[in-house]
Amino acid sequence: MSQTYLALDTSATASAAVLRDDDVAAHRSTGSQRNHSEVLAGFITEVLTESGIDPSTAKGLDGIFVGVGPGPFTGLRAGIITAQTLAHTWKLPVYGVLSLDSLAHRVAAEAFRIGAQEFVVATDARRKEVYWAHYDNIGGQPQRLYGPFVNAAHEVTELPVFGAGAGLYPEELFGITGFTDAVPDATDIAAYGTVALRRGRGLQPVEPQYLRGHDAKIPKQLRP
Amino acid sequence: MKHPIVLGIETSCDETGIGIVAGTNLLAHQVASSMDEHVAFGGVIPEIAARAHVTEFLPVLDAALEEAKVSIDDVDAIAVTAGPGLAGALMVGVAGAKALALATGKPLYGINHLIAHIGVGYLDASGADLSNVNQLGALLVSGGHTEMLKINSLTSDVELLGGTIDDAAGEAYDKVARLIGAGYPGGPIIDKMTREGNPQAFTFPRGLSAPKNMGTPAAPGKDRYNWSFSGLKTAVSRAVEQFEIRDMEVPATDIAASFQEAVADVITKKAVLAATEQGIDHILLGGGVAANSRLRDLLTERTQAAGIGLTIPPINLCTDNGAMVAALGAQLVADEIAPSALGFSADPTQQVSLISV
Ligand SMILES: [Zn+2]
Repeated sequence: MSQTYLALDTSATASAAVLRDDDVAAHRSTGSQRNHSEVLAGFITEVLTESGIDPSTAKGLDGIFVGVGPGPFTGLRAGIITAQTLAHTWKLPVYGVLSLDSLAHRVAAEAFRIGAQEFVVATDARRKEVYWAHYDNIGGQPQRLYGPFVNAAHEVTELPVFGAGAGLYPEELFGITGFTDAVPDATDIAAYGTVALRRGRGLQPVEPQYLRGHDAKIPKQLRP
Repeated sequence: MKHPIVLGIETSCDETGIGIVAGTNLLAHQVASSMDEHVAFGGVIPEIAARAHVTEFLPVLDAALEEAKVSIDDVDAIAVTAGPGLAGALMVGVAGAKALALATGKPLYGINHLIAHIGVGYLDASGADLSNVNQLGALLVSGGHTEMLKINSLTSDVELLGGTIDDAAGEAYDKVARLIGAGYPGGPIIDKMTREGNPQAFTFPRGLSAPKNMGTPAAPGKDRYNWSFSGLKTAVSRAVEQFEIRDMEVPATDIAASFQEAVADVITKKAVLAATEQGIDHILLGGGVAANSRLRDLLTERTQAAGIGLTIPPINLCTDNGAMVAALGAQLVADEIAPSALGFSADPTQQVSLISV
């Protein structure tokens, strides 16, 4: 039976895709890291319409996958609240995918080709840090061993690194050529999500993976 | 459309509010607040507020639909606060509202939070009778704003007469409450303390009230209708210090009462002056500080003396909520204002002249 999913990711850039029977039916993304809540609704309308799905009913859609980060908070929240609200209104299931896992899924074949048994995926966490996780490579299928974490680049485990984090910190991280500007995308989220759904493991709760606290300090006068 | 059913979403600060109206009839009014999580910090922490909005959005939406006994299909339009407010907090409501509009095909209005505080006055539940009002004005006083507005047309022409040039009145309350060790939020705590205190014990400054700020009716100074609370806050801080360096007990209730007197005096004096000079014959009070006993009493007294009408809506409609957003949305639909394109941005510093985006 034909399966059709909408996927979103706003952990770095903003993107939306429709995956039908494991093929990308439509895709939109922006290179910008800043205007997620402006572009996302338009992207979703476009990918659905292009796939022959009426956005106001979502008839023909089987579910939604959304990247839950980690990623800069404001953009990340835009994607998650969008996915939750769409699923709630359309009465469809929504599944969370760790955005780093989806990027690991994309790069695993290359890691296997270059003989990297274990590897790291790292993205920009701003404030001179990266979001990252450590993967084992089982025949081109990534298995997350540790993470996700947020750290300064020099604290990341010394392994080949895929993802934009490597491009930002070339001194500290051993970036793999061709992957030093890679960021998670809705097509990765969909690809990873459908595999995880079939296997019955690897999905996440649909809530933002902040990894950092809110940073607020209790003022001096209010401390006990 | 005469009585459109509109669902309004408000997330500009620490309240996740969703309300539903049919024209001027309030059908649902649901609010979840993250206030408890901010108490320890003595002020609203934007990131805490934004995180709470994500958690609360759908539960509050469901509660509102249930209270109104309508389904989302019955709704004619959706409205959401686009600004002004906290960027991260606004973004959650805006993204959620866009998703709701997209998933239902309903028109969406990105609206101005300040104008929504006025819009709530058009609801039957506000208790206002605006039918014989010639020129409506609004005084908004809260933790986020202190503004005097002239409403020529709610949906197309609102004029900012005056505002605060530094802190909002509610912020000044929070800061003073912190200075005298009274807790948070400052508004209700200080208001309660004043019952035991002497409002004449200290003479605290009324900001921007000097002749050079005020000018004359013929040659008004540029701050004639503006407020400033930073000098007042400094004066309170000095008073507290005077007692502390002498190791004397700080007369907290007298300071609280004198501070409140200064705030209520300068706000109401300037608001009534602006109304009188600008031909305003009815003032609508909005914002959380509308709950303040002294502000209400003094404003009532002074508007009466000036022959100006006054509406103070029920306090749960004065504080931030979704019903006010829905109320403004319903007026926009009724006036056939075009809905917003789904690409609009949340605007943390949205000007009052931009009523809907
Ligand atoms: Zn407000």
